[in-house]
Amino acid sequence: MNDAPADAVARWASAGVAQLPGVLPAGLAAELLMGLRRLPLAIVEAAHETVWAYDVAVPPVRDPQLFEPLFRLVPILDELVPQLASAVCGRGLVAHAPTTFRVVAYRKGSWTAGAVDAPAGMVVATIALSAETWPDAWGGHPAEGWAATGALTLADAARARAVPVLTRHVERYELRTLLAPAVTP
Amino acid sequence: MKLAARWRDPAAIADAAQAWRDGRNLRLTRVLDDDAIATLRDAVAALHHPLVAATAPEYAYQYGAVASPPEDGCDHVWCQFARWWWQDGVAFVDAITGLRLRPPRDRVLMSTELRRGAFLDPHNDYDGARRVAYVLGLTRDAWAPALGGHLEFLAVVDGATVVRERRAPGWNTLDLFAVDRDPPLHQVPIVTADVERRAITGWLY
Repeated sequence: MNDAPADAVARWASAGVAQLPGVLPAGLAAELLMGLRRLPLAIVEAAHETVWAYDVAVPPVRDPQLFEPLFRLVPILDELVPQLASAVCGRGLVAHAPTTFRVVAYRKGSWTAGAVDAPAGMVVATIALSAETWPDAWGGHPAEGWAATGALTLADAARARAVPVLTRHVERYELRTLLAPAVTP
Repeated sequence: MKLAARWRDPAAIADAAQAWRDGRNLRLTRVLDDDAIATLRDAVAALHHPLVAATAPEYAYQYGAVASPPEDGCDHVWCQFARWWWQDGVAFVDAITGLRLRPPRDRVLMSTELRRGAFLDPHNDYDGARRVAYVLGLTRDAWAPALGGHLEFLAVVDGATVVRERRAPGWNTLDLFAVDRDPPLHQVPIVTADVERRAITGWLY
């Protein structure tokens, strides 16, 4: 299990949310953004949010015809992120749906409020892709602050991680995956 | 479905017609009979309004919508209202505007629900065929314009877009405005709170 920064552990314990910078290798966020922002995202409405999204499933066997950065991303999401999250949260976590993730874009009209509709004990892992920022009053980014490109944010699915309504024509991309409690024999 | 009793008075129609001639853009109040508007609102509110959205650089919007024509033999309030609207409702609008209007060819009626995050960017509805836009207000609640969801008519003054007139979401109101020539630029600013703007909206041809 990786060593977790003490501040992340403390923040998780107190608020159910923690951030770890630089989880993606330098440049990978920019490469992913180049490809993923061309996906045909659709607006998705749930009780706790309205965002634009596209669910990506990466084939288990490397397909040379597919966007290559995806195959560098999958081990990070399926192995590194659960290891880091387990260290921060103090309990074993695994990828809930390996080799899959959701591309999420906040565009004008997008927002998040309230708990994610997920079973107890789940953790939402989010990796920031966009580098652009804008005035806080426009909304569209977490109330607790901007996440740097490539940073991993862990959030207790049962707790709110509010993103106020984005009121202008700007957009912010992130990747999301769910982590489930590891089953111990 | 029926109009409020006040519209049986020719003077009320004449006053509205004069207001239309003055600006080809008006809001009527107390349009339908009290029971009719309440029944329509409750029936519409019971329908799921899935989001429709488009994003920049196209004309951008986001709102919940239900759209379908009245079905033969259908007794649902939606169908009852749609049949009434496309006949008696259009005749009512004809009387006020002095135009000979017709429903859309597909007779599709649309209900819109603007909830948190919903908006319509500035646009003017012009497509070469539409003549009059209508908005039948089904919103009981009131809220401050700063929370969004109000209908705003815009003007461009010295290169800047300014609000010329703002209309709050209405209950039993009918907004009519001409979109065939000099169509007014208008928008619905983004809704930032948990409120619901409901309306039956569309165009007559």
